[in-house]
Amino acid sequence: MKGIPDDQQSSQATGITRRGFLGRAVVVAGGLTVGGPLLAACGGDAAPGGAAGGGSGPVKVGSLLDGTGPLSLYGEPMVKAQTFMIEEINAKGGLLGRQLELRYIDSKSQIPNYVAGARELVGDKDVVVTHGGITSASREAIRPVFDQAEKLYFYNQLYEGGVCDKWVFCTGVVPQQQMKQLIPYIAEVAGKRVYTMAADYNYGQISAQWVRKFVGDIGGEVVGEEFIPLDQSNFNSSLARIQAAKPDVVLSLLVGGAHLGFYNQFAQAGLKDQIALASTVVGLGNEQQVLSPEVGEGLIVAMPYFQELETPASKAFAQAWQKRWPGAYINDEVNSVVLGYRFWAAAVEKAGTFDRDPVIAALESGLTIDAPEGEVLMDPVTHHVHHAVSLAKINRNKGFDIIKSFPPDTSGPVFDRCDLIKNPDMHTQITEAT
Amino acid sequence: MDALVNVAISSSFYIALLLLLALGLAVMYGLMRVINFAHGEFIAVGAFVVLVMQRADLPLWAGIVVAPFVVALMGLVLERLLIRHLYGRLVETILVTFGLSIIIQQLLVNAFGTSPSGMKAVKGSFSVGDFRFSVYQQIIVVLAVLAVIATYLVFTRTLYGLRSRAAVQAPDAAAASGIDVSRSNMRTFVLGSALAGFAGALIAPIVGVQPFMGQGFLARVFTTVIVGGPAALSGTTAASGLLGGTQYAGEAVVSPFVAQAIVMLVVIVVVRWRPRGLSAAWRVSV
Repeated sequence: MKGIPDDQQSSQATGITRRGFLGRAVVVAGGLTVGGPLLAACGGDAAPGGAAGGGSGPVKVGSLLDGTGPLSLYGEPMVKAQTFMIEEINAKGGLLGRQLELRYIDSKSQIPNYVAGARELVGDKDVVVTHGGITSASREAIRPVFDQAEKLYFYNQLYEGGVCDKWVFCTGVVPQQQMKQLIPYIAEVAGKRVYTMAADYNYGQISAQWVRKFVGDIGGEVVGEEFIPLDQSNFNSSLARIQAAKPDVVLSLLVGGAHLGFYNQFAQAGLKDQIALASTVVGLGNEQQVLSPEVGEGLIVAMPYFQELETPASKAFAQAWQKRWPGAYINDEVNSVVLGYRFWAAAVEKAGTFDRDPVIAALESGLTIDAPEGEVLMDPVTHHVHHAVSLAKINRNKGFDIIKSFPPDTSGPVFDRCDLIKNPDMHTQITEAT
Repeated sequence: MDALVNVAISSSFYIALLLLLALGLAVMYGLMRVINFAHGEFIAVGAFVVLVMQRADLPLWAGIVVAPFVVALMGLVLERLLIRHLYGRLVETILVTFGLSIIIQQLLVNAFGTSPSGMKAVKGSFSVGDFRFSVYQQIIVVLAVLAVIATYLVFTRTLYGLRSRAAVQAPDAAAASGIDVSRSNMRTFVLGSALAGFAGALIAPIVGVQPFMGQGFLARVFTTVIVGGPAALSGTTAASGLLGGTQYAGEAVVSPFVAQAIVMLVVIVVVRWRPRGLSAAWRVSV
């Protein structure tokens, strides 16, 4: 606009002056700084009151999950599973004669909320155990909180393995079980040239190291490796590099809603008939339902549990689940959460108390329980679960076709260099690189 | 020669995608100074319209035609109820549209769940030498360019366009000369919404359609419009070329993560060199 000085132009058009804007912005910023953490800490609590943790009355179980926000993609099935488990235990009369009361804090897909929530839960004397964390980033943000407070924490999710921590129990499947079956199988059906597409955070980075190890073990080669930021949805450059590297299979460790675009773009570039697709994480977000059959069909996965498993344990669980959550697909996350609660409950019953040390001792005593995947044993020295693993691929009907199932391998610890009975003071994570 | 064609095909897609996503915001923020934090969700709603129509076995192009109208209607309702009270009040607009984005995301979750199914893939690929590309991505490039040209023509060659620019740039003078400023702003907001819906519909087959899909775009799109400067359309087009091209180059040579950092460096340099945006000194009308 001619004729009007620059600094007056925009204020004339909009009525804003610099002083007015700054003044209001300060007020807003002040409000957010004070109000934000308050809201984060308060939000999502279920019944913060309730009986004191004493001899009788309900006992509190803490929970930290993303029930809302982008990560509710993974959080929602887990929230359903925890509700199912609390109801299952309470319907049988609770534990040690006391009903369970869930104190669930919704972390809303934000790591700071996880940390604030964890601090609240360890500060609550009535909370005897916490089940929570979804992404490995969230787990590593809150594990120090539980370590410092020396409180019991269950992480019920597939992850990159290696957590070796006296106070922590992990019920999810780890690379030593999952990749151990997946990688030889894809070498057999597709080939030994593997291209890794990984999400750029600790899960993707550490799992990619394990991919190199397992591919090396079978004499294969990792011909390419990429780490993709979690908000990236345009995969053009990755597809160009994949085509240049000419792999036999792309192994996907991609996480989250934005990364879904990779499978669509891969298929639409016409690469499905040249290169196989496999993944360690597809299924956790019900991708088999989201992706159209032309995109998803044939993608190879390995998990302890699929709804399509025809074992008596699987069918019995599916029946009970569908009564409570009709139409909700049962993915491996549900299996992990069920394991977490059932192992904890079994240990409490065996120990006869909710106190931390007797419960840990019970969990380290060679405890077995029934799970949707079958009967499983808690490995005493690593605090992880000996998992069965099934190979499957996505079919034309947005479900999985089971290829082959392997029983749990209880011949040794789940992974090496971690013996929490001999070395009870370990609070760390072991990776391939360390 | 093959390599040059590769570069042209890929870089044009990066630039066109950014321009397409930014177009609605260029109209709303660039023209009207309305900071719409729910822009990503307007895009998402456009994508969900296509999803719903695909579930009803309607073809993709039908969804692409209908989605802008649906999002335009949503924009109309929101403008009359909320936005029109906030023109000129930047901070309040930020808060209100931010809250709106959360509400829309949760409504989408309530309606469709966190893992919505129903999108069908678009087949068709072509080869350039050893490399294969998706035909649909090139269609997006063409449609994005057409959308920008059409929007430019609307704002420079139609009476509505002239009136809306007057209403934004000199509201008192425009009102004095008989232009209904309030209705003109409403029409501009609705147009911006329609463009966002169009963008969402176009990208629906290539990204994952889920309630939070708008989140990943917002920062980049805002940056592009702000770097573009006062001339909303020309500036945004130039900024898309610069930032989209930089992102493509960064990803092709290094990695996606480093490319994001390089783009931000370029933004810092541009804003330092041209604080009011790329088009600050240009003599263009829009």
